[in-house]
Amino acid sequence: MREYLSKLVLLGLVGILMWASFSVTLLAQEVKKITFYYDYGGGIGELEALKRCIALFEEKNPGVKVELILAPAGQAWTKLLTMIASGDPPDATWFDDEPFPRFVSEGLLMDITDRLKKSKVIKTTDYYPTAIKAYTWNGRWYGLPNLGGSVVMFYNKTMFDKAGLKPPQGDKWTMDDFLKAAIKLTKDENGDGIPETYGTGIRTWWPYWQSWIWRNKGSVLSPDRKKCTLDSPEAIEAMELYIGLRTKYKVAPSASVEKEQGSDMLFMSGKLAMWHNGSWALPNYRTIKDFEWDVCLVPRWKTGSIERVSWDGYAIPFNSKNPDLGWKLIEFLGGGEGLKMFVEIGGLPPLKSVAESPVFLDTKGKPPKNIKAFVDALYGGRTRLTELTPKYDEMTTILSQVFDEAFLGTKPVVQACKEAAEKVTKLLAGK
Amino acid sequence: MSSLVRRRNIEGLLFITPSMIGLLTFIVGPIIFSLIMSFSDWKFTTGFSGFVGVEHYKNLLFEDEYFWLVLKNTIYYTGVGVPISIAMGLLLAILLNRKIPGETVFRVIYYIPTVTSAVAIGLIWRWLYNPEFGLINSILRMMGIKGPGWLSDLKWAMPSLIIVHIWQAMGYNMIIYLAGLQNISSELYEAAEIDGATKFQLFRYVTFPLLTPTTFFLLVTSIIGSFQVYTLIAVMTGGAPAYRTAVYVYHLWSVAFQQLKMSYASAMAWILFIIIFLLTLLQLKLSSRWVFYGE
Repeated sequence: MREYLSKLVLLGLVGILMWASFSVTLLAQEVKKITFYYDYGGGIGELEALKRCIALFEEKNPGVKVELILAPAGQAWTKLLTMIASGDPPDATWFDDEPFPRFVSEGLLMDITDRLKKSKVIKTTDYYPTAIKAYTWNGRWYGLPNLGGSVVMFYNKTMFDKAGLKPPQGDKWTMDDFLKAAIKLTKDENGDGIPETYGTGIRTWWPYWQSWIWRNKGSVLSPDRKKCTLDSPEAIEAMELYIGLRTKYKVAPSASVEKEQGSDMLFMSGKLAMWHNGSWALPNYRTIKDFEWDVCLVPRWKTGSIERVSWDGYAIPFNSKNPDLGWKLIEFLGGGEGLKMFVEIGGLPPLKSVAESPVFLDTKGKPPKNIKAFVDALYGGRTRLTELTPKYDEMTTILSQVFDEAFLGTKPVVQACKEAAEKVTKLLAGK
Repeated sequence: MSSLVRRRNIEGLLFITPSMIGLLTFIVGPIIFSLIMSFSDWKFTTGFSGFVGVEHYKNLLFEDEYFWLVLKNTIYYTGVGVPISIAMGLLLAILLNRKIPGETVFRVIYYIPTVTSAVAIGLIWRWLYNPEFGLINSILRMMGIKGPGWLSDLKWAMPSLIIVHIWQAMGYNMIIYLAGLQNISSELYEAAEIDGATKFQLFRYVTFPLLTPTTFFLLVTSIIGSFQVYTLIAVMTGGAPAYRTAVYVYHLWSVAFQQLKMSYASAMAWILFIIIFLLTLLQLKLSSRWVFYGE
């Protein structure tokens, strides 16, 4: 009996203690929970940096807890879409320029223009113009940039040295210089028709060739976005050169080699000399041990050395339940303090003061030597969404359908350009 | 009705309530929702904003060239893949219906692709199809043949996918045929043999007719499944090259989740339903001509 009694007393005590501590927490502070969606696009390093960033934010804002929602593998934006549609959106989200056209044209993102203008943390003039405007639509802001990438030319210096060639000279090089070097560096030594080394590589996704058209003073869409101008002489000339690298000059891997092996792998294994790629490739390329490589601006053409710049970013869903705290979070993440934490994982910061400081430029002995090229590329660069329309995704389907055959060499480039121009113009005219 | 029976009924209904609720919320609800959506403009932000009648259906059938392209691709995929996978299933079943050493092992080997996830299958076959290092082209090279680019080749991309489909489906077809074969009474074979039937005649006049119900079942279910293929395409080609391998459901997904035209995609889904429904109806009608249910 006594035993029972003591147990009962003990139990009661525990109960009182729990109740007390519970109510104390309630009294002490009202913990506000907000949610942040992350698409898992940049791998484990990025996630770790994001977690450190969020921890710092929580430290500076007592009483706010951020819960991370991770996208399931391979479905980066589908889950976010479903969450928004079901009325249970995250309060803020990681974003990138791939889903931006469809999200913004459907009105799924919150207009943050007024908040941005009032912000004390973010001054728009401190950012690179392409970055701060990356998430604008009809002159209004729908997101902030975080990590960027500018496309430059990566080159295998060892290959150039062995061939006795002068390495690429950035924008001092013309397209002719580039083509000549590519032809010299493509070698089929055993004569089986498949080169062992390639001068360069190409890609079929249109943002990669869009910049070649820009460089040749052409465009994909007319300034009013009502016509597709792929049938202009400039665009046709650019596409004939770009696709010709594979089909005419044969200095880029064939479609079948590209499909499974890929120019990226070929570059990393020392079999491809010049490769147009973005700064996002840095962490991977820094594992290269067998040869020396560096970067420089891409060769100039009629309009100089314009290349593509792309920015990941942050946004707030239009029906966020906690837009104030959501804004506070992305304001912190997109501001100077937050951005610094991402530099070490290879990201290019959108803030001039961070990008043009040792935080980014001092690589501590790691390649590339000419890391400044990434920053230089930002000044002339444009984002692929420079030519943004509400029908962006449908346009992408058409362009890949029409140009795939040209890339395979089974359809003349001119014909593909004309067909694409006609189809896209018709699409843009529809409602 | 006695009170006991009534009580039993109520108890029974209560027992199935959880799964009924699940069915209504996750299956029946969305089906009705998508039907309504297909006749209206539904947006992520505003939800429903008025009915548009049959406009989506009209656009699909008369304006949208991609609709016809993906439909053609799907018919190609089904028309070639289904008959061959059924024939292969029958062949395997006949081969493995005998007492041979290790028959169980063989059956398992042929059945494994059916229970393997389509994502894993897609990834592995992409390796096999690798034009330079893949197993298939390496073997062809040893025989002095230069293999095609498989998945990146305009003409070969769809056949490559169909080959994977056949490989994946024939194990299931085999199991169903094995069950069918074991249902055929051995008396029939004995009687036919006494009458002097050859092996081929045994197959042609005994086995084949008695398997027609099985074949019919497989034909109906395979065609339905094949019209709905998605994962394999998404993993292996994503519609490339030149949208030649984009099948109906892949395109539907792209319209819904990449172009965010949910209403339009719902209309596509209902047209697919009607196509499958009509095809199945037609098969049922035709079945009386060739399916033999005994006696």
